[in-house]
Amino acid sequence: MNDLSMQLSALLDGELSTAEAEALQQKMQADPALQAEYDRLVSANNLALAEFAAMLEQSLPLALARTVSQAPLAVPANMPRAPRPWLQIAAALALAVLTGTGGYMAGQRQGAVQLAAADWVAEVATYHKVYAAQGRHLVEVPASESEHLVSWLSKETGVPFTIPDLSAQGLTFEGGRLLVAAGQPVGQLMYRDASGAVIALCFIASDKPASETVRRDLDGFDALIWGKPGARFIVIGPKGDDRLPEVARIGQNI
Amino acid sequence: MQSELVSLLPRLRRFAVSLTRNGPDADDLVQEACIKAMANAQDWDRSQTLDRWVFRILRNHWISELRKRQVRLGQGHVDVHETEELITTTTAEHDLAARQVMGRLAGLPPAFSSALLLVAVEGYSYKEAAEILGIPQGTVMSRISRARALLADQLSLVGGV
Repeated sequence: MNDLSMQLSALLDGELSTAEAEALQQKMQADPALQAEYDRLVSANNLALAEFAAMLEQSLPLALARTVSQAPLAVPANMPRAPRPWLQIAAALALAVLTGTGGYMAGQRQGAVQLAAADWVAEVATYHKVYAAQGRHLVEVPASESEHLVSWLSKETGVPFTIPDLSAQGLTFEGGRLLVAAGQPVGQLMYRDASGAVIALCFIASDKPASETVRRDLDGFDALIWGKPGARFIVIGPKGDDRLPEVARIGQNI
Repeated sequence: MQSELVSLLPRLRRFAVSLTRNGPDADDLVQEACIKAMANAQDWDRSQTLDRWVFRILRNHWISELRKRQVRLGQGHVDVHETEELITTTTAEHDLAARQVMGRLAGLPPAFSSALLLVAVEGYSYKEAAEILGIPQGTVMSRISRARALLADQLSLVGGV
């Protein structure tokens, strides 16, 4: 280790002044050994980047994620804070994505993330608010893996289904994900149109599904809710989107 | 803050692994750091990012933990700048644990890998990394340079150069 080697490393990190960087680059051009040493450091750096990236792929212990998502936040003594179910849901949502809650739930259903509200419909609306705004990360399993998605979500939710084709409504199937609402697994299928508007079809197993379709205004979205033996369904999308009734009609046959 | 912390968990755990070199210690460390951050949320200076603040909490907690371990081992109080050097791998078991969570970075002392992670991967400047790690800026520069030199040697050995 010498000063020159440290300078080369600092060059790699963009920590040299313009004058220092130019002077060092001129030295490298005149000295093949110095250039070779720089190349060695670049290779070493690339190795480090690859290994550090691989570390992010390691599964996150669910116990850790749950502890952090459920730990109480400090509240200043002079500032009483109202309950904020939105934050709890957002934390649980991030937790589910990070830990792959689906796999965990397959073996330990009773350990499913419990959210504050009991109304799964309202929770689905909250999820939709978060996920519909996601561009690159709209879904957990992409449409290209539809076969796996159907198998996985059917198993996790206990609701058999097929993926409806909504192309006639101008909607492209993007994929899906597993949610947890009212302590139960929920399947979510996501569609997007050319303008970027997102419509989701969600389902949850139920012993007491409602038979008739009802319309609800949910947190700024329009939703249609219906049931069939063993399951309840929601189609949720932008307020006033006139495609929703047709999507619900098609969704009744999945 | 809570949902942001949950989103940060993979990166926090990676930083913790770079310090502890094993999964169980890293998980405990991340958990303690997050709980501490939430308990002291009012202390977070919003002019700096949450990750920077929690990285620093995490690192300080680890130093504190190392000191406790040294005292329990009967080695008395140890200077903070020496503390990080104390957990260099000494057994085959530790080596294996480190390789499982760090791959080819397991050969680096934790003081080197944590500095390299903060600058080369997390994108902090030497000055910011020095603040997070509680060490002089020149030490950050030196540790990163030495880390790369060690990795370069490792590559040369593998490549038979």
